[in-house]
Amino acid sequence: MKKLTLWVLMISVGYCTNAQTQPSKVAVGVHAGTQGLGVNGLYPVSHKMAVRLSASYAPYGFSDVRSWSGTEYDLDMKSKMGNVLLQAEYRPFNQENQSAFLQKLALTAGAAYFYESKGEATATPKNNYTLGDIVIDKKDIGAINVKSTWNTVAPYAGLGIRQVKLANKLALNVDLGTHYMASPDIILTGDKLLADNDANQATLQKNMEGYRWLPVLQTGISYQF
Amino acid sequence: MMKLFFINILVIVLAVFTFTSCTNPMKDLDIKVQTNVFKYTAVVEVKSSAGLSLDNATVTLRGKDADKIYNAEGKKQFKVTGGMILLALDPKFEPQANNPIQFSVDITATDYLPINVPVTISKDENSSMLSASMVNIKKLPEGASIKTISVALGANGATTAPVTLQSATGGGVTETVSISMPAGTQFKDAAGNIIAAGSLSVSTLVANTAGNDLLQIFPGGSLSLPEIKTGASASQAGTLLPAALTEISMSAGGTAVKNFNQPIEILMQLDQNFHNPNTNAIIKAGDLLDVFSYSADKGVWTFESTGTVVNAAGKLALKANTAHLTWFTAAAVVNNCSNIIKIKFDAGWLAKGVTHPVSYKVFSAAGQKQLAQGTFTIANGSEVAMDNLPTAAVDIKYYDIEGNVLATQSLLNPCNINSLQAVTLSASPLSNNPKVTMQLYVRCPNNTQNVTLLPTFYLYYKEAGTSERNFKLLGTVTKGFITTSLLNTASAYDFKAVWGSYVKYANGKSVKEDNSATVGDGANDLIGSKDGANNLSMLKEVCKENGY
Repeated sequence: MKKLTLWVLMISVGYCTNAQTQPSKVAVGVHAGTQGLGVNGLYPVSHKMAVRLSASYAPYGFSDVRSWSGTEYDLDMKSKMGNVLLQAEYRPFNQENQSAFLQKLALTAGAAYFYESKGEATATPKNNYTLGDIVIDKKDIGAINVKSTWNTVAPYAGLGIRQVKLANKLALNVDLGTHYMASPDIILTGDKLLADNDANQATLQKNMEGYRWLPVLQTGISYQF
Repeated sequence: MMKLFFINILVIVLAVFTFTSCTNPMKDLDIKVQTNVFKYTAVVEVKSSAGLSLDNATVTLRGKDADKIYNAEGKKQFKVTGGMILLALDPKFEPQANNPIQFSVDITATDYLPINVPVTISKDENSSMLSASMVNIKKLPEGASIKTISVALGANGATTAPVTLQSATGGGVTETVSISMPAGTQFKDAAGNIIAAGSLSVSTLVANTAGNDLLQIFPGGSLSLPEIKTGASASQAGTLLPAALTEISMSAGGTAVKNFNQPIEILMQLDQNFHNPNTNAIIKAGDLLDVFSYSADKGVWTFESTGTVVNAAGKLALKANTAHLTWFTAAAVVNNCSNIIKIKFDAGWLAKGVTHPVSYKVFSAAGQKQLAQGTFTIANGSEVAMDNLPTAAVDIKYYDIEGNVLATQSLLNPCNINSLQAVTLSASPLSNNPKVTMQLYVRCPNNTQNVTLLPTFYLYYKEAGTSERNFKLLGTVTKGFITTSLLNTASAYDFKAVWGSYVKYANGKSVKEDNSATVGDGANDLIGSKDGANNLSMLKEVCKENGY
């Protein structure tokens, strides 16, 4: 992750090398990154200050195989995070006597409304279960289902690189920041022969307490009017 | 200065990316498949008339659904453990409303009369408990007597003259059985070969059928039977009402006799006050009664003959001829109902979460002969099912664990009952005991955390230091937890826990109103009062099996 961040910064600096100080203009754009895909719009308040409104949606999913107590499980994990973020952008070095890179650098802060913020994981036995001479089909063993939800409003802070010129009215933007969420609410349920695993809910809740920082690394292209 | 501020911000933002992944969300998760995979189980409590352990008894299953039954470990090996046999239905099968799971359990042991216990697992009863008593022929219970007589045989292993043998009275038995063998009677082994022996040993056990302790002796432990063979190819469910019961065995030269070259005659004195359901009156000379024989090999009573009650030597008796040896009974058959009666208990004296083992006995309304018995572990509002009741009026009595009658339910015609029957149980004297909760935790050796999935097992108790035969069922410990009002906080008890093939004892323990203990190898953990090293070994084995 750190390497990726540095790579993005280096690329951005390269683009900035010959840039000139630019006044902020109204712009609309699209972006992609850890928040998924989204659209955004910028309204400049002053030469150094602007307000940006963006909307993002990220459906993620992956599968894995995990083993607990000698039993292997197919783990299917999905998350859906969608938010509308209103942020203020401040570019303190956007003046002639600063380097090209610093001119593009922006301090951003705001608040996001998460219209969707949930994760779900389902663990199903990978193999049949054997007790003595009895073979129980894996579909009859049951499943463990975990649902996590976060609160709907979260503050955001980060850094941005703004208005790296790509073409006449097209510019590149890069964002690195984080949302600060409340601790997620975890609900763990099991059914059939996995029904008595409720005690794991407290363990999982504890493990997830630190999952409050939702990092954002995204890049986008904007059209300036 | 502003640049330094920005560098700090950049460092913080980068640090956040590190924080998000510092704790593995899977850390310390302990997902377990339930140790009890069975939805339907039946437990047969096996008691010895002599109060001895029957853990060395041989247990075999047979019947239409025997192939679907396993022990707690999912194996086909069955044994008596801690006085219990756990029988579990393969979870792939479920009993149907019109097709319950049926099989029978044969139990044999040295010095005991073999028994066969019919078991029915119905859709409405996930966990049923049956009682079976095995009669030790060297230490008979009250209501039974046995007499062994030797008879000299001729050169070809035959009786040289007519022989008449009579059993003994005593031990609560007032009727006798006479055996008459004509001259020239020869005796055959199981292969049908004549046994050439110089002497014959005849052992005749006679049971008092008038007493309600008959079920301790009666093969199968119940007069209510899922199958009675009434003809060559006919059979029915029914209730046998015995007026006489005897078991005859013979051996010649140490070889067990199975049959004869010619029939022998048996004269059974009857319960003189037997209520004949065929006439609805006390038995009298001229009445007709059936003779049935029983083989532990088949576990079914089979019709032998119908005889006329005669007055012989001042006592009513029934005569029958037979060419084989086994149990015989002179009895009347009452058909059984096909419906299952559902009962809901109102036991407001049982606090929420408290269970109590309630036993029941079914009596014929006419004659008050005990027909069946069983035990339910109930809470207030529990629903249970009862089947195979006779097509005649019965009284069902419910008892607490100390034998106090809690309710009597009279059913004029059990076959007509299709609705839920409410039974109010009066308060047991034991209800004055405090509510005691017991929570057991299990911690595997070398683990710091307790096991998250706790076993469900049966727990017995007795007053500390008393005989093993005094163990009574405290209840089912569900996931390590039980609440009971059977225990007094002022007394010390011995406990016996039975989990599958494992038995654990904890002796001389006093209880508080709230109790918790951890089974493990730690300084303050329980590891059992008997054979602690073996208990630890068992704990390690079970922990290993379950991935700890």
